[in-house]
Amino acid sequence: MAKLVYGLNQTLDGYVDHLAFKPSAVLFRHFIDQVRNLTGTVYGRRTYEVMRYWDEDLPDWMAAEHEFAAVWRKQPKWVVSRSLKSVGPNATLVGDDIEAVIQGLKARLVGEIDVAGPELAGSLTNLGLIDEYRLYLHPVVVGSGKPFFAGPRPPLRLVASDRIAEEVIRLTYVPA
Amino acid sequence: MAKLVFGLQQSLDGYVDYMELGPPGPALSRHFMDHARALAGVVYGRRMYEIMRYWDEDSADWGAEEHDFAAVWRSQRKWVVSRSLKLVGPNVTLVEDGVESVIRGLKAQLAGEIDVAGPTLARSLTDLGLIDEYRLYLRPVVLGRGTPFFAGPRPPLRLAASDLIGEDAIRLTYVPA
Repeated sequence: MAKLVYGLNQTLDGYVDHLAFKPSAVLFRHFIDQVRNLTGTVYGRRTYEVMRYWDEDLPDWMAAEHEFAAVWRKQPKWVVSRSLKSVGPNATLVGDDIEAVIQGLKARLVGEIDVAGPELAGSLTNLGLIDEYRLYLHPVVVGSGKPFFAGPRPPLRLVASDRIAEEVIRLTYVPA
Repeated sequence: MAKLVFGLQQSLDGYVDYMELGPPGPALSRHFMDHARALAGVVYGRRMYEIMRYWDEDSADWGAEEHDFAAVWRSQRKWVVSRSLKLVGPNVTLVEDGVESVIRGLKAQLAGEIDVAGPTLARSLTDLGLIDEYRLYLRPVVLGRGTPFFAGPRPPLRLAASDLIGEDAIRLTYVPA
């Protein structure tokens, strides 16, 4: 039985727009290790398209970026989309029946499956499928953007708070 | 030299609407009461002051806790920033103009902590560079909409402390970076 986890960087006012953050070396190291240990990741279309950046080497990458790309390419991916016709290496397209597919993954796999993308996380939240939420709070305030939580949800319970880097605290919540 | 602090309960998605958040538990309420008792004073925006004026008159259905809070509130020195209010209650100074110099004066003249109450006022004081500390009391609820704690963008902050407070809140303390 795998655990479904939704975690993302966000601003103090709750927005996840990835251009608002430049992860520090310490935080990037944390995510390399986190992605390395994942059983797999379920992507929404938009986030998958952003992350495909890591499918092709770039000449200006440093060692840490090559390392992240290597663990990212290796991880099994499921991409939830009705509009995409094909997906990249090591990815499976999920066009319909998200609920059954995700329930199947949770039942069949062990460890941790990441949910990537706030809209997808909103749908999976409404289906009651997300086991844990991880808010990586950065000390910036942007005033507008795409929220971490796509809509209201029933109360949560705080289970941990950890300083991940000088600038970032991670809050871990589970459904109450 | 007093420190100007903006702190409020809020949802995980950053909204401060008190009625939507639900009442704080007994331990969190006590925390706020002790905090309020220790303050050098509070600067209110008009909306927040009008909500809080509730505590100026006893109500028949209050229990001991409500009476305690009302006593603390009434003894608090208050400043209300508003151009439309003409009349304010007891223990209150109305600030109609020159907010910046009034607040600078208070900070210079008082010691301890002055609270800022109200997100709109907090934003104006943020833009003037007057707020020394932000305290986010995160409650484990998600509202989806409402009045945000931060009324607009601001320059980066620095995390100074995180503390579990009461039943279900974590308080994150930030200072300007």
